[in-house]
Amino acid sequence: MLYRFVVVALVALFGLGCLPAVQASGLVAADGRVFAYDPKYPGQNRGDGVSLVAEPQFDMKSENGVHKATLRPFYRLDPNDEKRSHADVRDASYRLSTGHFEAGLGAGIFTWGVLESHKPTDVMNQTDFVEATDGSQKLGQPYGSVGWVGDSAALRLYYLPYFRDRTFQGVRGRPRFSIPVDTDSPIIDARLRRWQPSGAARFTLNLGDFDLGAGLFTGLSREPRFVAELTTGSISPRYDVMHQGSVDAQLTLGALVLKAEGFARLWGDSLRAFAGGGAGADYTFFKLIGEGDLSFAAEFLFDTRPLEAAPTFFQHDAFVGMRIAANDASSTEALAGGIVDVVDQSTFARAGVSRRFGEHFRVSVDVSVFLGPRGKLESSFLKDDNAHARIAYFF
Amino acid sequence: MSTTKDIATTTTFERCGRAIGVAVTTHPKKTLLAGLVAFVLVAFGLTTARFSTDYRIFFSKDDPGLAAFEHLESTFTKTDNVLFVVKAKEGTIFQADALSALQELTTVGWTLPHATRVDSLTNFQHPEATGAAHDDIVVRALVPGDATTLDADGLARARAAAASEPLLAGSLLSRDERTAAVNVTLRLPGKEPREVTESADAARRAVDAARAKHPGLEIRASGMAFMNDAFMQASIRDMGVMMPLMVLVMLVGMVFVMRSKRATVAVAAIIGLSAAMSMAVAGWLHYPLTPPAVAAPMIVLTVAVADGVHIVLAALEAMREGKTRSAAIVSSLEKNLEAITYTWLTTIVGFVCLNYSDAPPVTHLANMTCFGVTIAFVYSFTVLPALLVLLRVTAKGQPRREEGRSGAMARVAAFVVKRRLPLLVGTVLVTIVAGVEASRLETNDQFVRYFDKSIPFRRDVDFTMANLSGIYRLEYQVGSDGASGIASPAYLERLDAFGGWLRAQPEVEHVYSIADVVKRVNQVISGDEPSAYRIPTSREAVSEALFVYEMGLPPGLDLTDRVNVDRSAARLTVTVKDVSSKQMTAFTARSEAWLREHAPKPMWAEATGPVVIFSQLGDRNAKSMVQGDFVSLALISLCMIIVLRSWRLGILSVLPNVIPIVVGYGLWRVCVGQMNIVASVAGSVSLGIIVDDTIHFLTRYKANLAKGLAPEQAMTKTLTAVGPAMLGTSVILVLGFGVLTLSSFQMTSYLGWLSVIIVSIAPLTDLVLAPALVLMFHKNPRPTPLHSQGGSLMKTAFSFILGLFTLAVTVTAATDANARSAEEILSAPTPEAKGQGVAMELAARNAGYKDLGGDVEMTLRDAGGGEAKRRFSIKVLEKPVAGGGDYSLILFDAPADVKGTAVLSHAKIGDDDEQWLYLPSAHRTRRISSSNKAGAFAGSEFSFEDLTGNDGRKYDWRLTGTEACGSLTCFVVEATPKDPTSAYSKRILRIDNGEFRIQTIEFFDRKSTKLKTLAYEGYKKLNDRFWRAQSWTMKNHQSGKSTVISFSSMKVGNGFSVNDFATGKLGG
Repeated sequence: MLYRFVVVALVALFGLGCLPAVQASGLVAADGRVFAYDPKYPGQNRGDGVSLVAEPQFDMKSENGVHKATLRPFYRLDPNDEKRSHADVRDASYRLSTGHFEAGLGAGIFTWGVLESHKPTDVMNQTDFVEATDGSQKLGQPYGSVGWVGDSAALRLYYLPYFRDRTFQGVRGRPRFSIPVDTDSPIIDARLRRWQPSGAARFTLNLGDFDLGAGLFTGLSREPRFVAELTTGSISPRYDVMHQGSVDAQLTLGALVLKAEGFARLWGDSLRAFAGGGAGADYTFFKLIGEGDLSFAAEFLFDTRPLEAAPTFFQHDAFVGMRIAANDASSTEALAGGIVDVVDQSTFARAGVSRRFGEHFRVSVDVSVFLGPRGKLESSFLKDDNAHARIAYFF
Repeated sequence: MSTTKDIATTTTFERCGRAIGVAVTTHPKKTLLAGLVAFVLVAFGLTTARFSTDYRIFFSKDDPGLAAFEHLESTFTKTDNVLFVVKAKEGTIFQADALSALQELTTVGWTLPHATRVDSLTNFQHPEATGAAHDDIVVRALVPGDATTLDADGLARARAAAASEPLLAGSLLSRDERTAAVNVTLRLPGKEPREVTESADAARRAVDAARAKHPGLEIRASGMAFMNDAFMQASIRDMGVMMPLMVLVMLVGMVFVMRSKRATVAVAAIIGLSAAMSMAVAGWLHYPLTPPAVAAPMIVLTVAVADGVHIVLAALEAMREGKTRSAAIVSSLEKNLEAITYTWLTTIVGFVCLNYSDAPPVTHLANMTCFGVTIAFVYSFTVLPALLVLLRVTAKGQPRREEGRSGAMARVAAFVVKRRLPLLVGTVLVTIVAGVEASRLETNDQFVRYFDKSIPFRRDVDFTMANLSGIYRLEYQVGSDGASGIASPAYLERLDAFGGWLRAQPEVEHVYSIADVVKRVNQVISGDEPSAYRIPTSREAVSEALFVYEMGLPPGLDLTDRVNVDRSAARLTVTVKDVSSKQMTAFTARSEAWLREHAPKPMWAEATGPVVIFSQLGDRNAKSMVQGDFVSLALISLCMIIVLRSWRLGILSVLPNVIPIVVGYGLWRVCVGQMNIVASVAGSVSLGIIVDDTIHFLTRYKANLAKGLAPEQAMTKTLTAVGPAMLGTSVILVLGFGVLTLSSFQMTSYLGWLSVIIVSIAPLTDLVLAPALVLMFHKNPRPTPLHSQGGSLMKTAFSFILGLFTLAVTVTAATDANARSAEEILSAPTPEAKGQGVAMELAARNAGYKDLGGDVEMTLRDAGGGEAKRRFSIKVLEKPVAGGGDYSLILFDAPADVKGTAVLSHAKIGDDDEQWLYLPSAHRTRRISSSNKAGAFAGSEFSFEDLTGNDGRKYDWRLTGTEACGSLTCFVVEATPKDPTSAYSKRILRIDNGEFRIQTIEFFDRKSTKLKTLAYEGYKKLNDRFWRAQSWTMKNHQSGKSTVISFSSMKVGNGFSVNDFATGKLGG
């Protein structure tokens, strides 16, 4: 394992970094985690320990900026969980951009939506669930795209030829669901399985203080539902077809920012229709302490999906958070926030600080807490409260 | 025809419709009362609605053309005027009667409200040499004394004097000497719309009086004051003529379609209320009423009638089937809510997208219509059913049978089903031809032609153009190299050469500049030698000529309309013939190119004037409307996909609606050839309306498929069922928009004609093309897996995009005019004016670099000597929008953890900047608040305001003194921010008096203590013109911290475009 990590890192660094036109950057980091309680499920490791992350990035760019190429592999080595040790290509793409036209080919990450706590309309990329259970980390999605970029509007069309499975923690990993997910035998509800193509279109527009976005997606849903495998005692993810249209909007009124996004989706064979979305606001007190800014955010998320559809954590959830940005030379930041299901009170909360040291190091520390009643999907993570520290070297 | 769900389960819409219906039919009186109260509240807006009397309303506040023109007007004189035109019915104008009429009109001219200057044939300032040796110069009126007393000799003298003045012919005197004019320049305070009417009315009275007194003369009045007044006349005439006609057409149509007088009364009531409310909303929103805006209530009448008719027809049908009145109404609402909601939504989308237009009257029309249509939608489901109950509407006759009543439709259906391939190919060919034609459409905004001949102004202008001269004037502000620079013979020679070149152009009728005055005076001084009609060779001689001339001028007729106050620039006026916008644009480009080729840089000038800015607006508007059409198409497609719950049908459904628009514009190009500001929005307007038919058609088709019919059968059934209704609504729409074609205002009538054409083609494509398309590409009623759709998807997408691009109308980019300031600094009277002078010069010297790019290293030092570094690249685009600020893009390279972070800023004047942040780790661009002006930029001592707030227009300036700074001498200038939210109470700048480079800036906080000092060092001259400091050091006196920004590889003129600063490009 360590051998593979070192090889990937070295080949990446010295192989590509030595090419004359290539600009190398990126990070290597050590992540330490300590859990507050003993593991809850049989077979789970305690999980305290250090894992290593490498995410180098190599960029090539033509003189006039018309042609660009990027390679950004990702690798995590975790001695506690073989499923958390995983590699991915976050970005490996060639992009062409001339005047109003642009095109892209390769793999990459595309984010839709405006909310901070969770983006219900963000559907193009598969979630890297072992990296973050809040869904904020994504896997690189193979794509081909063409786009038109106007002065204040842009339209992009994507062809997504290949489907990526969601990553899940292994039997030994933490935090995980009560029954481990068998990622080796996913059920993909499409004739061509993972090669089932999906399509997407994204339109964005700035109108005065408004930023608007609209998206269309058709193809395989990145969200799995779970099918119990009685023979193995595990659950298998099952991916269904879906068609979705979404809009997101942000209105910036000075220190107050109002946001909303929503989707309407036709899901599964029977094309069950449901909708989801959220709305929120954040407000910033500028220069509250010296140069430091304090912002508050509140968001509400809803989702009307039926029980048989792929489950989501965010069916009727409220989020409250705050952020302090010291705006100093070392970019010190502190964040705290919690998201609460307003029906069953299951809660996920996190607080942390981060700061740069010197030109190349960044250190962050955060604490995650799971609260709530038992018997829910989210309650799988109860007892997985943990503290996490990261030392990252950026180059 | 309503869309009914054939599935047993009820949808949310049906439940809502039922709930509303039950509530309304049980409380009809309360509902009606609530509706009326809402109407009365909104209708109060009518009391504040005002007609517009200023052509400038067609331009938005930040219109670059208007800004340039107003700058010229403020430098010289305003161009609002009244022009009296006098034509002798027999003989020349040089007869006592005619000349005395001109004299009277000249006198009356001075009494017109807001008159500041009167120029006429009779008071033309005519220099004459007197005395025995012709050495004395007198400047006097061409017809001195009372014209009625002139004998034949005197008349001949006046005629000879006029002939000796080259400036008269083609301007105040026609070349055939039969017509002459009196031009009254007005300075309207611009506070009350009445001002123009006052001046115009006074002028009309003067004309009436003069006509009565001089029956032998043809007397007319025109000019900008009348044009402004004509906007109001046209609005009032349109309302007076078109509104009653529209109401009549709608009433007859409704009686015919619904066959129930009481139901007609009910529907007429709600659409009337909606139309009135759409008008009233103009008052609330302070929209001035312009001819395009008064079309809004008429469009509301047309569009809204369909909602009411659908509901009434379904209710009547249900009554015939034996339901009670209330039950029938409830079932009608239940059936219709969904389809009408969608048709309302698409209509709204079509109109909302008109906000892309650059011409405010168009956006007013759009927003008023949106409001009215929304009211009609709400009232159709509340007030209308209440009225149906209260009026005891009953149905007569037997229930209709769907089968067998449309034999013709059945034949159409059979034909379409059988011949779908040739139909498709044929349509594609027609569309391509039409698209090519449409792409050649040119905008032509000759504002006089906006009015048809029913408006007196148009007749008077036509008369003026036929008998006197053209009325389109171009203005050039030709600068010189400094104060009093216009007295330089070299300058005047160039100016005269430009005038000579202009006179040789076929478009030009008359040219007038200070050079012509100087030449004429020089000739007179030299004893009226024809050879002396030239610019004197020495500066002194020019000054003397000007001095002599001005000494003789009476007050009010001075040279301030020809040269600016410090005599650094002169105005050159060109009267052009009746040419189209395109010819005008070509001509102005040619003239500007001539100046650049033949004159030194300070003399480079751009043409302006109402006719130029209307041409520019037309072009720019057409361009932005293409964007608007694109957005409305995208949004409407989205609506359709949601409505039909099939993305495939949704996208397919757009084609039959785009094609009528393309074909409509193509036909328009063949028949008319040109369009105007409002005509270019007809596509967006029609799209939202004609798509309604498609919604009805496809929802019904889907319902038929769901019943298990084969596609062909379902199609036949759908066509026979929906076809007649589609034709019926199309007839109503054609009639409604047909009324708009009667408008006296060309913009409105073109909109009407284009909409009529498009709306008439739409049922053809809906009945023929849509079925063919659906049968070709939607064979399988069940949702098919995506991979099997690839081929047809590509085909659909291709034709879709093809159709879209044919909508595009080619346009040229508008040019931006920069103010040119003078070295009037120290001669200015007050410290404020001096400070302003420094600021203007500073701005002028820094302006015109177009763009700047470079790499920056920023070093942050704390009081203890600790250092942190940032590296980023910066790109700046100079003021891409007139009246706005610079665009800038900062891309971070170090520290490594923020590499790839980008900050994009679009600076605004008088408003918060727009800023976006791209964080590579989040893969997304988001707007960030820019109200944090005081906030530190990347932890440095520079605040956002320090970096983006350097626009001189954001400050009040004051020169406090001059002092030595290093080896230089510096102006010390105090800049007080106009923005109350600025973090600073003032800035003190030291600017060297030679090259105008800022040396230091001291920043004072709100408590007026010195906070920071910024020193600019390492000045480099880029492109031989622009001084740019390569090192900026900001020291904070209160914290002891400092930040140094040092540039490397700074370059101006990189050829960046606005698109490089598009939000869509961030992170790409």
